[in-house]
Amino acid sequence: MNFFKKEKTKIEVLYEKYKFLLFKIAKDILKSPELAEDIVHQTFVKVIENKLVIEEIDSAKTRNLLAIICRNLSINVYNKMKQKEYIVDEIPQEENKEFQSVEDIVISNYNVEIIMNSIMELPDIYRDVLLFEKVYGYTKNDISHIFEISIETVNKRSQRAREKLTETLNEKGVISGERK
Amino acid sequence: MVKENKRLEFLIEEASLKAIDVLDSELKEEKVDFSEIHKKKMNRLFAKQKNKENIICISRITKKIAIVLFLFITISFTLIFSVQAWRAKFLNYIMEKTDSYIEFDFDVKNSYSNDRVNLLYVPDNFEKSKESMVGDVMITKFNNEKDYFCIQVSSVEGKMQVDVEDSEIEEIIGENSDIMIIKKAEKISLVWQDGFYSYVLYGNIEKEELLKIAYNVKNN
Repeated sequence: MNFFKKEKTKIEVLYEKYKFLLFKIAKDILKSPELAEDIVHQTFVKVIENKLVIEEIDSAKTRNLLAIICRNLSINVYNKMKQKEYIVDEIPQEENKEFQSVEDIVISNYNVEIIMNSIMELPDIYRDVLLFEKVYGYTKNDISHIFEISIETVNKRSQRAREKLTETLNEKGVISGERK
Repeated sequence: MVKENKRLEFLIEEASLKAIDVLDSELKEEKVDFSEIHKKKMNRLFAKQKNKENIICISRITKKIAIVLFLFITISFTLIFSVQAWRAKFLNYIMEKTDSYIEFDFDVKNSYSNDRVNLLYVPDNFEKSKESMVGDVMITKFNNEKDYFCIQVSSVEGKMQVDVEDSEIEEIIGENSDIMIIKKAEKISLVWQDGFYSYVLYGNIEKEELLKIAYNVKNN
């Protein structure tokens, strides 16, 4: 309880711990210390506004949560400034592409490892949406608010992340059957 | 399109949790001196957040206090009213407190005076119906359509007899003098003295009304 006490709030503790990390992420994208500072501020505004659940301050999960929000807010600002998409290694979209059903996929550590490596190779914007869904349990609507992107964009990124992963599993021969 | 598949989704979830750890090791910091503007902005944000948390905290504490008070009052009243002795003591206490705040009413219509006594309060619709001297005792009676009250005033040296057989007797400790209340059937009598006179006030009206009259009696 911080009632009438000079204790730091959780958000202040988070800021003190991660301000330099978030600054670097934003500055690497925007190349401007001033804009990077703004993004750091915006990241914490997002955490407060969306009442994001921070269970443990010093954890990989919390660090990545903040890093992902910061990165996506930075990309938004970059896009607005340059009037073009930030280079994020877009996966080329193949229209009407269909994949074999993956019903027979085996749950094994080997397959988890293959998918994890595939996730690591995904472009940031696709991976971030996937991680927010799977690790943090946010809905597409939540992600749309937090990242300040449209729900259609969230759907598109989520779908294409899965397509990419399925494709990798096909290539590795984890999924049996031919691609349609 | 990739079809929904529970097994694949499970694998993605497991892989994502592992990916977080790998990604974490790749995160780097850059130590910088943040600008004063940024520091001020952050401090404003934190202050706002702290206020919000304080308000939430206060409202939680208030709710808890309200619940505790409610329980305390409920339990206290249940206990007091379940034991006859406590109930009587409690109600007497409340009455005494209330009585000490009775206001004098100087409305001419609701007052009466004679050579011996001033009644600064006479209940609505009551009028003097009889006044007489019996020995040293001045008796004044007031009536309305169905009720009555009567005040007897005598000097303190004189004797006064009050019938207390089969009566409930109660005593109220007043500021200037104690008042004895005698209740017998429908009739309630109040007896007291003020150093100059002795008074007996009785009637078939409410005890509270009689007490109000008694507290508003002044001698001449």
